[in-house]
Amino acid sequence: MAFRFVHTADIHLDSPLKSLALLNGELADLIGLASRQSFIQTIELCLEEQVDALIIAGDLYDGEQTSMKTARFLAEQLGRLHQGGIRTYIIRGNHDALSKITAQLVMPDTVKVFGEIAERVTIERSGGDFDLAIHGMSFAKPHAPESLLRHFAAPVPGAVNIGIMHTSLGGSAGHDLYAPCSVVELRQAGFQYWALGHIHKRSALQDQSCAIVMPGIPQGRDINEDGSKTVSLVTVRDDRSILVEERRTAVAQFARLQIDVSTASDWEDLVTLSKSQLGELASAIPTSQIVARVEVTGTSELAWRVRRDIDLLRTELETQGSSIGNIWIEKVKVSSSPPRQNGANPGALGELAAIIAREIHGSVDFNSEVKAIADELRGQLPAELRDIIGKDQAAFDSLMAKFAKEGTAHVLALLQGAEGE
Amino acid sequence: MRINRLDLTRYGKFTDAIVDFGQSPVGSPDLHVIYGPNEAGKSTTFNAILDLVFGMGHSTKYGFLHPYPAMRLGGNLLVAGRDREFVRVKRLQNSLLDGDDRTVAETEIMADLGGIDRAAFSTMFSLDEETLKSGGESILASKGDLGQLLFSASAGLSDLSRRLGEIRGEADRFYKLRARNTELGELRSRLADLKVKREELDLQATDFARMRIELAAHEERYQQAVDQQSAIQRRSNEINRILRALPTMARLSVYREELRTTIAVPEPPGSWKNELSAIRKENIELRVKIDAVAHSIANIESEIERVADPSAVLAFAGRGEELLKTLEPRYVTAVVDIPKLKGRIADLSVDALLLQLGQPGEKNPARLILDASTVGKLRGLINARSGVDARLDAATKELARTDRALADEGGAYERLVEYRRPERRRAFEALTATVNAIEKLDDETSLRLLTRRRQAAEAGVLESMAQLVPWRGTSAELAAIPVPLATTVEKWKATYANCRDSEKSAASDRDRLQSELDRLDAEIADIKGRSGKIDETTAIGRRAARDEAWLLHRQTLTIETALDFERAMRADDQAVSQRLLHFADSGKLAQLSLTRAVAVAELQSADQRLSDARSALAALTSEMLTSFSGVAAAQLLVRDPNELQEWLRRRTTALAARDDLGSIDQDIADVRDRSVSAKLGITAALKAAGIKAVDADDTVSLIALAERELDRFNSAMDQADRLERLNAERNERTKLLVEAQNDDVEWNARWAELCAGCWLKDQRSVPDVDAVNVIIPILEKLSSAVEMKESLVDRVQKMEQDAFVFEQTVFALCSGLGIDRSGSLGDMTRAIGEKIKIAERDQDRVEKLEEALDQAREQEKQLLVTRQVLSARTGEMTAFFGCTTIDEVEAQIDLCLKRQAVRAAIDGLERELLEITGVQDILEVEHQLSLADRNALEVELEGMKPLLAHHEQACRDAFHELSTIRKALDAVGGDAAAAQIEERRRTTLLDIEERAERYLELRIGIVAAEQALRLYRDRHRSGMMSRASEAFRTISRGAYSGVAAQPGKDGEVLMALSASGGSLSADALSRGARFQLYLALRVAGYHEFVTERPGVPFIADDIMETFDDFRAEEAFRLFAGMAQHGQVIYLTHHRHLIDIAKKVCPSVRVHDFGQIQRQAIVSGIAAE
Repeated sequence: MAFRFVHTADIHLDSPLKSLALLNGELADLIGLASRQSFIQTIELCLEEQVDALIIAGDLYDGEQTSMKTARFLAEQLGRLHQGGIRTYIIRGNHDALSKITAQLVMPDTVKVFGEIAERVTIERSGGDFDLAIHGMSFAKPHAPESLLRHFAAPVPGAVNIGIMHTSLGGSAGHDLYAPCSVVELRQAGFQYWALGHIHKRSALQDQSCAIVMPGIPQGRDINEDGSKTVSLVTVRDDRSILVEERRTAVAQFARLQIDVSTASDWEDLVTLSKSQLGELASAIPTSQIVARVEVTGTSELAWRVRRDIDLLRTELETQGSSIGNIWIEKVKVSSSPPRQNGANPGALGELAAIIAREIHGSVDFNSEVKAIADELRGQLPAELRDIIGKDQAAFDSLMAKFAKEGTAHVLALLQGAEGE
Repeated sequence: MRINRLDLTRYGKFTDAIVDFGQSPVGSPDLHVIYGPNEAGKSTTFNAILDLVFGMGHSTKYGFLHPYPAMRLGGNLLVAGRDREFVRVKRLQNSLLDGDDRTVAETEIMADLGGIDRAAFSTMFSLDEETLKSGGESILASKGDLGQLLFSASAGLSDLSRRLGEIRGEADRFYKLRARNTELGELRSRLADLKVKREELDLQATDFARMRIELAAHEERYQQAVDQQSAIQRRSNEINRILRALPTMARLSVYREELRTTIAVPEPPGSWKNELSAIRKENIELRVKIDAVAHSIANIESEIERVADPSAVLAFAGRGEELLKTLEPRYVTAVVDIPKLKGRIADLSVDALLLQLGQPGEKNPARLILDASTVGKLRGLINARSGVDARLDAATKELARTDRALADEGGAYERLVEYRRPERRRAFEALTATVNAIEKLDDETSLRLLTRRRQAAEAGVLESMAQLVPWRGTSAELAAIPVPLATTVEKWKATYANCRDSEKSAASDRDRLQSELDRLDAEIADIKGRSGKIDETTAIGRRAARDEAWLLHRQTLTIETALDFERAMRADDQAVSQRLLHFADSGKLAQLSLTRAVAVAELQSADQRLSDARSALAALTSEMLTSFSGVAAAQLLVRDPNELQEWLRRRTTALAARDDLGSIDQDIADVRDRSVSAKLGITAALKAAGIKAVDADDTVSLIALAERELDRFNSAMDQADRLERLNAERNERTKLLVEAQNDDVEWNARWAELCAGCWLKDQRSVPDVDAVNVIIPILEKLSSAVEMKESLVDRVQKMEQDAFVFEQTVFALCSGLGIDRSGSLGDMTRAIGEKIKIAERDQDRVEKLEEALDQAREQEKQLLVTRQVLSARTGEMTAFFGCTTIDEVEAQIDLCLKRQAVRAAIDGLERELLEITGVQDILEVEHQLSLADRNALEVELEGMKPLLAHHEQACRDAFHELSTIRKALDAVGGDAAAAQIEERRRTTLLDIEERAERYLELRIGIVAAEQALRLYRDRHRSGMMSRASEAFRTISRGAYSGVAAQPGKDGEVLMALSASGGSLSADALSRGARFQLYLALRVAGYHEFVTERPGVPFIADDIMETFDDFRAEEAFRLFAGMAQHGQVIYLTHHRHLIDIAKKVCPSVRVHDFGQIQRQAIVSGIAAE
């Protein structure tokens, strides 16, 4: 008989979505507590598919997560699996190692939480079915600078061996090293399935002898975790071949939409174009709710107008989104620019822009005024946000340069042209 | 950039309209006034300029007449130093074309704009009243900020301050130092609220851990308390048990002694004790019952013997019952009803009915009654009779009427058969068609009208041909003249105009130069006169003569030669001295000679140009003549292509007149043809219909003849139709009459047949319908009377039979039962009933007594058996105890029961003791109790009570604390309330972050703009301030001497300098003065722009609405000043402004929309 399990990781329960779109109460009702909703969907997938086991390869919750209610929620959900006769195998990841609630958690009997020393659990099955050996090891500390692979026991001969590990693999962009190891090393370990966790973007490798799956976060939390999010439904067939299927669990998907203003002939055209692109985006994604970040790019004389009337464009897009039904606008960003003038002086506004670019930005007077404004505001911000104005001098300088560029473009755009145009 | 010509080809409401601004004037302002009433299309023109330069965009409001794909703009523009044709169409890409519709890059048309886009162009280079007003207001709003004012005037922005203010306002809404109710403040308080809420709802892991440690501690404490309390309780319970056991032990000892002292007897079965008293009671009862049963048997037997035997009487019971229930009631009814029925029979009136039928004394009235079938058939025939009569009558009358109608028509049907022949009918139908086909229009009238029109047309041709003089010829020759293309003529016109201009200017130059030359000659002559005619040539001549004389003298050295030499020398000296004397004159002369030489050269050049122009004109004439190739050339002496064009136009008119004449001739011929063919047609049709027509008859008479013949034919045809119809009708009527007569005969036969089949035939004659109609109801009455009589007679007979049967039965029963027959029938009947009832009662009584006797005997038998069983049981008991009587048995049983009771008490007490002490063995109990000291124990117990109460309380307290903490731990659920609040808190933080960034962008953007405006001010102040001053002075008509900059609180501010020497800040100026100041600044801005760049058209749209004529004059003066540097277009619907503009700037060009549109319409029609 085949052995089936669901493999997920990086659940980060109760880690809130980071999106301004949630200011919309309607959307907040729909996709609030997305990590919970997504986890419930994973549990329901296990129950519906009547799998044999659920494997969670680390990071049940954020390190700073300290609410016992989160832990209770996890225990309740795993309790449902327990009642359904489905076993759960958990390792602790870097976040869990930090977490204070880990120690307090009381799990149902069918939940196996692997310890800090590599362990092996065997599942012996009758009637000629193959046995399984599940190997796992938890993070003891938030950091594991060296590979954990050498701690794992050798594969059990004759059984299907599944390894559970929290690892950053060879290291990925935006991630420090956590229990690094290479795909080649994993392949050589002689296991049939590696259930990995830690990297939030999904990746999977499979050949005749071994499947290595990093399932990714099951629910993206901000625009940097955009795209489709899934868990793996794994079937070890009677002939021990392995089928890995993706199943959607995200209640909301973050998506980016770029609109090239240079393809629009005028404002109405841009609005029409944007709406139709939004429609295409919605029809391309089958998820229930889509949170879109729109960026207007490209070179066009409309760039001023776009900057000035970005609110109108946003309203148009929101209206379109609500008529489509499941697409929401998180933010509309402008990075389009007016065409470069070939040395000529394009009138008074152009001259003013040139003065600002060449003589004002970076000048001592300007910098000191900017610093005064920034310092005043910093004092008024909540403690959590003090760093948004730059942690150190270098960060502050580059941030202010960016604000100056954006702010100037915005002010000039508002001065540009007549109203109602 | 300059617009030389703007083509509104298909744009807005315009079609093929052209605004021709002409070439840029040299030395005079390039000022244009476009005049047009409201809605004439001034703003369309402005937009057209923008659309031509920048494209029409995705959607435009000017596509209401011409659809998007047809929209087209064009123009000739001076761009990058050369004039170029451009066309703009409505297209997404490649919408800019050149004069040959080839795609042109957008950059080419915008070459002079230096990257200014549409929005900037329209704000910088246009001005309308609205902008002027808001510009004036903006001066106030900016508080005179010099940088802002200079910048907004250059950029054409009218509300810079407001826009900057709005941006600042947006930033301030988020945060402003010391301001209350900022967005940031609100968001922060929301954050704080959320934090508090979350803390209320949530339980942190550290708290949870602490609570679990506390739980463990409380569990231990509770366990200790419980242990202590239970130890004391145990001892207390033990003492209590011993104290409770001691009395029981004492009772046990008493019972044990009693058992030991009582005698042992055999133990009978347990039921015997109860059984004994029952046996005694039963013995007595049996004895009494047996006696009672014997007595009742004797009583019943004697009773039976006393009752008489009723069986003899009961043998008649059946007949008696029938007599009473059936026969007697029938007898009573018969006696009453028989006389009544007989009376009713006598009353029936059959005889009267027979008399009505005319059959008195008929023995068998039933014979007269007719069966239903006969009556039905008679009724049917009676009903049918009226129909038969009516049909017969109607048929007879109709036939007579038809015969009368036929007689009226005269019956000449045969005469009409000829008309009805098919070939004749077809001929007449053809004739009808022919007559109908000929149009009713009177051809003569048409011809007259046409002839009149022809005369007019002929006159027109002659007149238009006469217009063509000097050319003479026929119109065919005219049409044959080859005509040059319109473009060629236009080209000739242009060449001709150029040549004429050259010729004219050359001729005038020549005249001017000739008079100049004359003047110079006179002056030279004068000088020469004054200087004694010693001119250069003379002087040179005298010097040469002197030198020659010297040479000759030196060779010969004679007196003559010496004298000659002297003379020559003197002459030369005189010339030299003369020349020295008139040296200044000679210089002037040389100057004049040079001037003259130049003039001569110029004159020659003018001559040359004149001759060139004339030869060019000659060449043109020859080219024009050549193009007419021979035939008409001699007659065409036209030199001026304008005249030629006019002549060509007249030629077109003449040819059109000729065509008109031709078409009228064609119409006349058509009418005549139609008339002839009509005549031929009708003649043929008449002939076919066999009607003779005289050939000379004209068409009208022929039609009249045909119509007359057609009338005759049609009326004959109508008569024939009528006769035919009447004959057919008569045949039909005759047939109907015969049918009606047949019906009558048939009816009579059937009537006679029916009457013959019944008694009616016996009548003297066969009765008619009316008689039978009366007879039938009487027969119905007779039938029912006869039937009634028979039924009554039958009922009387049956009743008489009932009375007889009753009497016979009564007599028979009386003799059977021995009853006296002397009484009446009623008495006898009652006596019979009585006797039978008594006999039945006796029979019942005997049966009941016998049943009671059987029961008593059975009871007696059972009682005897019970007595035997009882005595056997008594014997068994006495034998068990070895005694004789039942009383002895009872004593033995009582003794045995007493011993059993004692033993049971002992067992009970022992169990009680085991129970109280909790010990298993009674011996152990006895041992323990024997050792117990009651008093000591009671003392100990008393001492324990307070201790126990204390420990119980301690236990309760520990348990309470334990359960409180357990509940708290259990209450930690997995709900999402805290997470939800945390999510909202994070979103709020994100919101603040986003807004803070926006705030910083805006604030920094404003700082940058403000600092840049200061730099802009410093850079343009010198250039713009003097111009603005000048313009302000002009437009204020000297009320202000200009403007000046003055340091203010937030930088330099603009001050207006009044003529009286004071200076006024912006807010002190009147509203009108502020508009003027804004206008002055805009003028300065335009000058500032065009000093470094090629000129750009400036378009002002009726800004002088509120200006008086003087102010308008000054405004035009400013525009004329601007027009020295670039094209200025002023759009207005005020005609008087044109005069003002002309006064200020005589070279102004006025474009009237009315004319532009009229021309467009004319050219549109010509194109069609």
